[in-house]
Amino acid sequence: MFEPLFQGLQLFFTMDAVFAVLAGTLLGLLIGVLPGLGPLMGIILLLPVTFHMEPVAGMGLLIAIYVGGSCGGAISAILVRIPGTPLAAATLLDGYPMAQKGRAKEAVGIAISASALGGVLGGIVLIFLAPLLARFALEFAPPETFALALTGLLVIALVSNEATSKGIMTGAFGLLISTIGYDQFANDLRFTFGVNGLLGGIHIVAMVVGLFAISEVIVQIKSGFFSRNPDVPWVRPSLSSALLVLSRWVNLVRSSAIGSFLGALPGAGGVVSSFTAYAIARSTSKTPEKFGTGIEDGIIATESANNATVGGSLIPTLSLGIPGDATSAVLMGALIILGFFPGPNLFEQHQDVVGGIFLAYMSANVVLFFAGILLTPLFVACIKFKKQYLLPFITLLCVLGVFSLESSTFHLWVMLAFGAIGYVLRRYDYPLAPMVIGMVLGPIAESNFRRSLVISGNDYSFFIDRPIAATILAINLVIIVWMLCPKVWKNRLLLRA
Amino acid sequence: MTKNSINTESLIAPVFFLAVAAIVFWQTNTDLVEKDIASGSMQYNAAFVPEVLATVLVILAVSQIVQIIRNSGTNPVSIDAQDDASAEAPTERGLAVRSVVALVLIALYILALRPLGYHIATPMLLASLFALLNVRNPLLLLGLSIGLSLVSAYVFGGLLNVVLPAGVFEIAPF
Repeated sequence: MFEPLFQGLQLFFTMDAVFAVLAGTLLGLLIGVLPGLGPLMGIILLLPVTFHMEPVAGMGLLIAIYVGGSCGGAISAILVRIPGTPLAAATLLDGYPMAQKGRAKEAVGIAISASALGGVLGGIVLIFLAPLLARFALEFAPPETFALALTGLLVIALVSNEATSKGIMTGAFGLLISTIGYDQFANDLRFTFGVNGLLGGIHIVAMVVGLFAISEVIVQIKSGFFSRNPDVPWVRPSLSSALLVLSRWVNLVRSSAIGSFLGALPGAGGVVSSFTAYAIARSTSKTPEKFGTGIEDGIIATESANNATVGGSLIPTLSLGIPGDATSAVLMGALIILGFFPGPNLFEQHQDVVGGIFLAYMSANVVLFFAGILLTPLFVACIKFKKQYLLPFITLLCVLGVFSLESSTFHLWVMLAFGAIGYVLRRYDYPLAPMVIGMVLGPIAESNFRRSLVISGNDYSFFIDRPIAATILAINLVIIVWMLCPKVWKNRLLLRA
Repeated sequence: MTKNSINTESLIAPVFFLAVAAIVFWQTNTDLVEKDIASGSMQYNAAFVPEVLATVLVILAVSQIVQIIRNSGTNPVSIDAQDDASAEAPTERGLAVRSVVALVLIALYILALRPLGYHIATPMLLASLFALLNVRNPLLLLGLSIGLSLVSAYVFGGLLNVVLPAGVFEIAPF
C-alpha cells in the first residue's frame, strides 16, 4: 500500500517538484483570495506551464493550486463577506460574524489550520483507498472501462444539479468535440474540414482556457466595478490556531471524513461537502443555536470538509480515470498530456509518479498551513487588487499559455471561440463542467465501446456476460432512471430517506 | 401593462446546439460517406457515435426551444419594466460593448502576433485592455503594459523556452 509513496520519494524530492508545490500553494491561496477566481481558474491558467515541467513537478504545481485555492476563498469570506470562491460560501456563515466580533485573526487562523488538517486527513484516505480501488480495477477489460466511462458521463447530469438537460447538452457537445481528428478504428479523419490545426483534434487546454478563463474575463468586464477597492481589516493569525482546531478533533475528523467521502463521489464537490459538514456539525452540537453567530466549530467543519474533498476527488480520478468534476477532469487531462493515463495501469506501471503525486498533495497541505498563517497579511492586501489591473494580466496569461502549447496561433483562435461559446452558455445557465468531462471521457468511452465490439465480434451480450461490467451498467441504469424521475418524486424519496 | 413576448436571446444557445448537430449530420452524410467510414458494423462506423450524440442534441435543443416558447406565453413581460430597463441601458450597454471590444482586441492581437511579433503586439494589447478598463494614467498604462509583457516574455521565452514570435522587426531579447 505504501509502495507508491516510497517509490515517489525520489521523484518528489527534487528542487523543481518541491518549488512547484511551494509556488503552487501560494498561487492557489492568492487566486482563491481574489473574488471571482478559484482553484479551477488557477489550474487552467497555469496548466500550459506544467507541460514544460517534469510530470511530478507539473502535477504537484496543479494539485498545490487546487489545495491552496480551496482554502484561499475563506480569507475574503471572513474579512469582507465575499467568498473568494463558491467553496468558501459556507465558511462565511460563521467566519464573517466572528470577524465582526473583532476576532478576525482567530477566524482566519482557524480556517487555514482546519483546511490544512482536513487536507492531510483527506490525503491519508487518498493514500489508503486509491491503490485498493486501482488494484480492484486491474481486472477491468474494455467492457468494464466503457461501463465506467459511461458512469463518468452520466455524472454530467449529476454535476449539472438543477439544469439536467442543459448539462447533458453541454456534455454531448464536449463528447462531439472529442470526436474531431483521427479515428483509430476507421483509420481516417473526422470533422477536420481540411483544417490542419484540427488534425490532432481540439487541444483540451485551448478549450478549457477559453471556456473558463476568457469567458470569466468577459463576465467580469460586463459586471463593471473596475476600480472597486474593498476596505479590508489588517490581520495576522497565529500558528497556535492549529491547537484550537486539534482540540475540536471530533468535528475535524468527522468533517474531513464527510469531505473525503463526498469528494470521491462524482458530482458532489467541495460546496456540497462543506455545507453538509456544517449541517452535521450543527445537528450534533450541544449548542446548535450558536451556529451562524460566529463560532469556531462552524469554520472548522466547513474548511476541513472543503479541503478533504480535494483528496477525495483524486481517488476516482487517479485510480479509475473517472473525474467527478471539472477540476478533476482538467487535472486528469493534464496527466494524460504529460504522458500518464489515470487508471489501474498508472498504479501498476508508474508507482513512482503516483507516489510523487501523493507526496505533492500532502506537502501542499503542510505548506498551506505555514504559508497561509505567516503570509496572511500579504493575501489580505491582495483582496484590494483592482479588477482593472487583474483582467489584462489574466488575458495575457491565457494568451501566452495557450500559445506556448505548440507555438500555434490556431490554438489561440480555438481559445477565443470557446471563450465566446463559454460566455453565451454561462449567460443562459448552461453548465460548463460537463463539457470538460465529456471532452476528457469521450475518447475513453468511444474507444473502449468499439474495442469491446471488435473483441466480441460485434456481440453486445459481451457487456452483460461479464459480472463487473453488468453491475456497473446496472448502476448506470439506476442513475438514468433517477435522472428521468420527476423532481417531485425525487424530493419525496429523499425526504423519506 | 403587460404583453407576452418570446425571449429571442435565450434561443441563442439551443439554436447553436442545433447548428452543431446539423454540421455533424452534414459531415457524416457527405465527407464520411465519401471516405467510406460511415457504414458497416458499429465498431468500424466512424459516424455512429457522433450521430447518436447529435440526435441527443437535437432532441434536447428542440425541447429547450419549446420550453422557452411556452414560458414566454405564461410569463408576461412588463412593458413598464422594459421601460425601466431601457432607462438603465446606457451603462449596461456600455459594459456589454466593452466586453465585445475586449474579444475583438484579442482577435486583433492573434492576427497581429505573427507579423508584428510578441514584443510589439503584446504591449499594444495590454495598453488597449487597461484603457478599456478605465486606467487613465498614461505613465501607469504604458509602464504596466511594457513591464508585464517583458516579465511574461522572460518567464515563457527565457525560462520555459517558448519561442515567441519575433515578427518582421525580429525583436527577440530572450
